[in-house]
Amino acid sequence: MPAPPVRQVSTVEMNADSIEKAFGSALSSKKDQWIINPHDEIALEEALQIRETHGGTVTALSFGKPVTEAAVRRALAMGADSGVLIMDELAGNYRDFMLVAHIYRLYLETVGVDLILTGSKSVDGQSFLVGPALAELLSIPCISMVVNQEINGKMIRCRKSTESGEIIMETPLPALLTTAGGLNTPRYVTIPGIKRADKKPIDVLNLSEIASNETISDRLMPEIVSFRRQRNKRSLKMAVGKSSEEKVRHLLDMLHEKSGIL
Amino acid sequence: MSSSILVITEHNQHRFSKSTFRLLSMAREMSGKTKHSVSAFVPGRISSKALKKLTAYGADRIVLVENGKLDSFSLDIYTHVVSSIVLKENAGIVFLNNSTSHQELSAALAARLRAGCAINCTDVQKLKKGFLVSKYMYGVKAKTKFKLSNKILIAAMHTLEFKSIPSKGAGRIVKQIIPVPDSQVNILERNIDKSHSPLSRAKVVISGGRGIGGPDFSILEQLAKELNGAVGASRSAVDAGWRPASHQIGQTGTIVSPDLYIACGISGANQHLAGIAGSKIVAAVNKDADAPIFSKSDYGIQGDLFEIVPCLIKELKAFKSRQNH
Repeated sequence: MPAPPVRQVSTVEMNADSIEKAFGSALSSKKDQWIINPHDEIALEEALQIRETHGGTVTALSFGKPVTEAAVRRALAMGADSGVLIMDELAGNYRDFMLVAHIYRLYLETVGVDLILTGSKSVDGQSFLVGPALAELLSIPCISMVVNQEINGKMIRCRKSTESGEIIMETPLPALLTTAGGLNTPRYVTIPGIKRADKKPIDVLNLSEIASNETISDRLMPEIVSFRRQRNKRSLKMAVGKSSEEKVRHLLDMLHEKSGIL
Repeated sequence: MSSSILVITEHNQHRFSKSTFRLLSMAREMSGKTKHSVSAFVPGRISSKALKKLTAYGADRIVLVENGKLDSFSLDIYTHVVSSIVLKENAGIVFLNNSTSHQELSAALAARLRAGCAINCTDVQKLKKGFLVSKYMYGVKAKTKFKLSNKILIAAMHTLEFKSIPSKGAGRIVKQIIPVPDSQVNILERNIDKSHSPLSRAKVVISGGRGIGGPDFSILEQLAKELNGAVGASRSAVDAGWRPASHQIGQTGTIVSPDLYIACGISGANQHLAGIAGSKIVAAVNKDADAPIFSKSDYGIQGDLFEIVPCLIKELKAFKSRQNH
C-alpha cells in the first residue's frame, strides 16, 4: 500500500533585520543576508524534501505586516505549493511568540495538517518558541532540534541533537518538528522558481477573520521599555614575535596579565 | 497565601547542574527583597547525597515528584507535571535554566498557564503590577528591557553571570504524588556524547573552521583538554561534514558565552560572530591578517594554526608547571 501523502505546514518568519529595516529601526545597516529567518528556510527545505518522498502539499504560513509577503513569496519560489499570510493589524512591531502561536493555532484548527515544521531558532532570539508553544496549544507532540527524520505511515521517527548527544525518538502524526541548523542545505531560488511563485496563490487573511477581538485583546502583550545595542567592546592586540613560540608566549602573557584567565 | 518563586532544577539523578545552584542563589536573593518564599522543584528520582547538597542553597521547600518517567526530559510530560506544581506552589515567578530543553519547557508552560514568558534573561524585577525583565536579543548583540503584566512569569535565565552562594535555612522536603501520563514521544535510543562537554555552558571554547582542512580536529581537542574546554566548529566546517551539526557555533547553531573563546582557522562570518559575541575574551588564530574575525577579537595571532596550536599546547603545559612551582 502506498504511504499516505503528508499535508505539511511550514511557518516562515521574515528575518528580523528585514522587519526592523522596514520600520526604520534596523539593528544592522548591512545588506540583508536572508529574507526569511534562515532557520525557517531549513524547516521549509525539509518540508519540500518530505513532499518529494511522500507526496502531499506544503503550505507556507506566516503572520505579519504587508512587508512579510516577500517572505511568503520567497517560500513559494523555493517550492511551497501555497502561502497563507495572516495580516497583523496590531499596533507596534514587537510580536510576542505567544501571540503568534495563538494565531497560528486558530488558523490551523480550521485546516487538516499532518506535520508542522518550524525553525528551531530565530535571529531575534525568542520567536522560535512559537513551535513548542503551538504544539502545546494544539495538543500535538513536539520534537525539537531534529537532525534527521523518517516518516513511516502515520509515525515519524526523528534523530534530534541535544546539548549532550543525540536521541532517536518516534511519535504519531500529526506532530510538530523544529529543525536543527545543519539538517539540510536550503535550495537556491531559481528564476523559473520565482516565475512559478508569481502564479501560486497567497491567501491573505485579516486577523479579525480568524480571531475575535476578545481573543486578541485578551492576550497581554509585552511592552519594550528599552533597547540597547551592545557595542563592540573589543580592541585587538596582536601577539608579536619572530617565531611561533614567541608569539604564543606573548599571547599567554597577555591572557594571563590582562584578563586573569589561565 | 502570598505567591512563591519556583526554581525548576536540572539534574542527572546524581548531581544537580551548576546553573541550578546559581538559579537558586539568585531566587534566594530576590526573595529577600520581595518576601516571597522559594520552592525548588526536583523532577524524577534523585540521590539523597545530591538532595542534601541542594538543601544548602536556601530553598524553603524542595518539592519532589519521584517518578521514573521524569528521570529524563520529555517536553509533554514535563509541561504537564511542572504546570501542576506551579499551581500547587502558587508560584508567581518560575525560574528555569537557559538550556534548549528549559527554553522549550518555558514556552510550553507559558502556553498552558497563559503566563508571560521570556528567555535569555539576565534580570527579573517584580513591579507593583507585573514584571520588568532584562534580556538579550539577537544573540547577545542587543540588551532589552520588557514589561510583562501577566500574573505568572516564566523566565529562562542566562545563569553564567550569577554566582552560587550557599544560604542558611535548609528547606522542608515535600513529596508530591502527581499522576504522570505516558509521553506521546517514544525514546528509542539515546547516544550520550561523552567527549563533548556542552558548548553553551563551557568556560572555554576552542573552535575550528575551514582552515582546519578536514575532519581531524585532534589538535583542537588537545588544546581544549589543556584548558578544560569544549570544541566547536564553524558553519563551513559543519557544512563540509567534518563535524556534527550539534557542534556548530553561530547564529544558526549554538550561541556560546565562555570566559575564553579561541577561533582557529575561522574567517569570521557575521553569523559566526553573532554566536560568540557574549564571550568574555575572544582570541583568534588565522593565516590571513585581514580575516574579519580579528576585528571582533581581543587577542590575535597571525600564523599557520598547525604550527601555532601545537606550540600553544606545549607552552600552556610549561606555563602551568611554572604556576605550580
